[in-house]
Amino acid sequence: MTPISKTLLVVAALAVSACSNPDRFGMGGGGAGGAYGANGAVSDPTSPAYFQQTVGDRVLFAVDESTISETARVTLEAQARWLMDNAEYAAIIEGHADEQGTREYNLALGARRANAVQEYLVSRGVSPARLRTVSYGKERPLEICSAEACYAKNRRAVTVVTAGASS
Amino acid sequence: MNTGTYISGAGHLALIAWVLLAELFSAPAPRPMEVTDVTILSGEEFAALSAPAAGPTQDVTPPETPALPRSPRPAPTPERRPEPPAPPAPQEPATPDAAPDTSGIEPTPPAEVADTAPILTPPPLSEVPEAPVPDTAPPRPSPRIAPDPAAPPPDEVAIADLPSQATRPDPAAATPVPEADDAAPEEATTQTVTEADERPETGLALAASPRPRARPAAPARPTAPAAPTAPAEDAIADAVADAVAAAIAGGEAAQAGAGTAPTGPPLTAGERDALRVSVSRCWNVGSLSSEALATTVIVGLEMQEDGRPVAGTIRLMSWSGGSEAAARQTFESARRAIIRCGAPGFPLPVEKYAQWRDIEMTFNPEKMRIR
Amino acid sequence: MMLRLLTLLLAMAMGLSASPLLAQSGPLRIVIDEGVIEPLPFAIPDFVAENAAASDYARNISRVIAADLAGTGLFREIPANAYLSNVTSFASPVQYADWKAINAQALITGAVALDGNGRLTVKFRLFDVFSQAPMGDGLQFGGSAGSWRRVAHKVADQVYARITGEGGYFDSRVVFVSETGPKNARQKRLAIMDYDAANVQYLTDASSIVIAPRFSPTGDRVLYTSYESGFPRIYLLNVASAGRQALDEQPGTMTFAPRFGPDGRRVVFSLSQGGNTDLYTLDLNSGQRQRLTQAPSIETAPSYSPDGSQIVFESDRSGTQQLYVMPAGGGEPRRISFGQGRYGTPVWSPRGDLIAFTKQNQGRFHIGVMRTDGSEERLLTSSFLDEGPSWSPNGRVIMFTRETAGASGAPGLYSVDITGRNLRRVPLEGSGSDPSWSPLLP
Repeated sequence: MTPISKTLLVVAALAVSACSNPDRFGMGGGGAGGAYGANGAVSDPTSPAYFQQTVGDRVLFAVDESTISETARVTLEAQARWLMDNAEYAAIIEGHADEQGTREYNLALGARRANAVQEYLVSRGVSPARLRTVSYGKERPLEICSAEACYAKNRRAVTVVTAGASS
Repeated sequence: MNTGTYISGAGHLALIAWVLLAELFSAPAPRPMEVTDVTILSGEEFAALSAPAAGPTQDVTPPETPALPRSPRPAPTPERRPEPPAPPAPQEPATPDAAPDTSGIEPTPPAEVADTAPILTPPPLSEVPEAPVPDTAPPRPSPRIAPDPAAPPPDEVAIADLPSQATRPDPAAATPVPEADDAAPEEATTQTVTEADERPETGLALAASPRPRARPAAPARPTAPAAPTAPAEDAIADAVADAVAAAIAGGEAAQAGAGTAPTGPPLTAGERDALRVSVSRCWNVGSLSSEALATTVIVGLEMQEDGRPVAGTIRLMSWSGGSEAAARQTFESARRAIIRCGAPGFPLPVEKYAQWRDIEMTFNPEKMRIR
Repeated sequence: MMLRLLTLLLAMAMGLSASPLLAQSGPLRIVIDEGVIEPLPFAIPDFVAENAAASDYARNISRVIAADLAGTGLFREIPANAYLSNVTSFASPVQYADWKAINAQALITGAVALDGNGRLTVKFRLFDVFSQAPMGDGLQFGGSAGSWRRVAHKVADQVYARITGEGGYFDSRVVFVSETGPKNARQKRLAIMDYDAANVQYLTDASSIVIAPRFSPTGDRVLYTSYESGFPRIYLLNVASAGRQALDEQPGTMTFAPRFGPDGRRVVFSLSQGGNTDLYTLDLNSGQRQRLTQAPSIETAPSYSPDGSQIVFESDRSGTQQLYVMPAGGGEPRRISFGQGRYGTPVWSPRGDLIAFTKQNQGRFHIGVMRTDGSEERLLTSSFLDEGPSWSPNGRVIMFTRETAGASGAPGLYSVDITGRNLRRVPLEGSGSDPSWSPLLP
């Protein structure tokens, strides 16, 4: 890898990882925590940060399930509204699973969860062209304890909004 | 416009640049791996390691892992070894090795040897250090599995195959075995205790998928009167059996006279059992292949009057259940058992020597297959 | 008591009915159907160095052979300080009595020479001490000095095969995922090592997540799943050149769980689209893709039977993860797992007789084996998280991932004999997961 491409990669990762590369975990070292650096102010209702923190970017699932719960429905309604209001954004929906499962099964399970969210948003009027899905299975847990308290937060689908919907 | 937008804009430019240019940078040249602590692999080194196909050709059909040794046996190397004592090894100059292996391996720089050699000093596979401690163990796990469980021997006691009490003054104590008076049988358990068995709370799971129980006893072979399996310590049964045998023997002697039959009364059930048990204790099936474990062999041998087998007469008479190769493995394990436990002499009554001068032992490992 | 009475009666009945027979002059016949299962004691005096340059190699090679054999759990090395005599020349006759006296049942002797060109020659002999006979012929292997470990493994494979009657597995490698970093930001790299964790080499960098590599039937290529594109996709990597290529790039899909067919040409894998995961095959030569399953459920973790005629896989079509077998070209799957809990990651043994799997039940994970029809299920391990079994080339040992619990939990590689004995941690430095065992190297 040349120095230039390396630099570009770093820039891309730091500045727009939430916008372009669906694998916002890709560089590994940066981790999940650093990925939300450039999302604008929470106070700006059109910013990804607002979407993430005020609207709520994630919904949780029961063990080995991909059905949308009542609580999740409320969140997804708000997500759909936001996406309808901010048409310049696209979204990548990440499906995740807890560590209590085999690796490849969890990958398939994450795909189911991401898809459930996508279908819901589409049913609320969001264009399918703006939504993509990816599954991380159990590869990227948010919480790292080995207890239900953590597992519950890891069984999630996260809607990551990215600028440039129509591009 | 806020800073976020600026940053995002800048980011997008960068991204676009990256998307456009990435190809230029990433496409060519298989990136050299950044490796810190391990040698980087050059193509040759890898080729060296994975002998068959050096080229990136996709459809490699090299000989599927030719079992190198057994293949063609080249003529014994005319090495300087005319000595008679040891059968000169028909040197197989690593023929199958030759082309792919050696040539391929050559490029590995000798320096690497120095690197790796020290690593190996600790034996590669160590006893699992962090294996979970059995919370509670049903049968105690032991590396040794034997018909009769044995407690761990008291410290500092020589491990012997039989709990020797220095009864038999070994006539041919040719070997200076430190077989102390108080040798204890090696610690043993009666069946394999897997990790899954060790946890009581998995009881349900195990109940749902039980380990196949020992097969129903095989139908007794017509040729071999099944040795009564009464526990040896069952004195009453033994005594009665002895009496029965004696009675039979008496009758037989009366009716048949001497004739060509072996002289002396036949062995009692207890005597036969003692022989069976002492061979069993030395019959180690732990290193047999699963096919060998499904192969029953009949082994013939001659005995000396002192109760010791004549090693040269131990022969494979017939087998069933597996291939000839499997039978050979089973036979070799049986032969080792006879020789090892026969070395001090089997516990056989000398006055009935004629009855046990020739013995046919049927070794059936079936019960030990999954144990 | 009842039993004893019966035994007694039986003995009497047989004794009586056999009494005429006893007059015959045949041999004494007894049946031995009990034995012991214990490691077979062996001695391996340091191989004789035939020249000074070879002396380190001679010792190290002997040590690797001893470690290989002892590591199986089927053999036990007798420590050298118990020896009554030494072997100073490869050609001198064996002092059987000395080895018998220390209960060495197998004796391995050998000699090593290193010539001026750095070429190593290793010869060895194996003896059955109690039978006072060689087991098989002497044999010689050659290679460069740098390949001394492989040469040692080859000798150990020979010894193993001659004593057990089945092929060895020491001269083999394992491809796996090397893991570093915290649990929520793991860095994963494909790596390859000798079966005993020596000679670790990396095949990819840590820039994207990689999972579940699998060796080709000849060990020259590796299939795996990578997030290189941002989405999970299957890749084919050439071990010799470390060059890789993406195999199936349909936008809007994810592909994973690739496995080679026994011909090395066909690949079976999972493709996820619209949240549904099914099995497909891909012909590496023609690029032709074929769909094998069409169900709304998850179908993944496939594995070919060694003859290529069938595929075992996991599916949750019944409501939970279970194992199914179907014809390799697709067709009606037959469920084979019926115990409590969930079953996944089935892998057909190279001998064809067993299927290894991961089982989840009551909050614990197990590695187990069953016959290919699902009968005779046996669990071999139990822990917080065991998964992903892979067979040794001879079908005797299973290597798998064991992950420890908690925030600092990390995966390691373990191996276990198919009897459930000899559970060991593979002495890999650092963390690793998803092992795949190569065939025996040529």
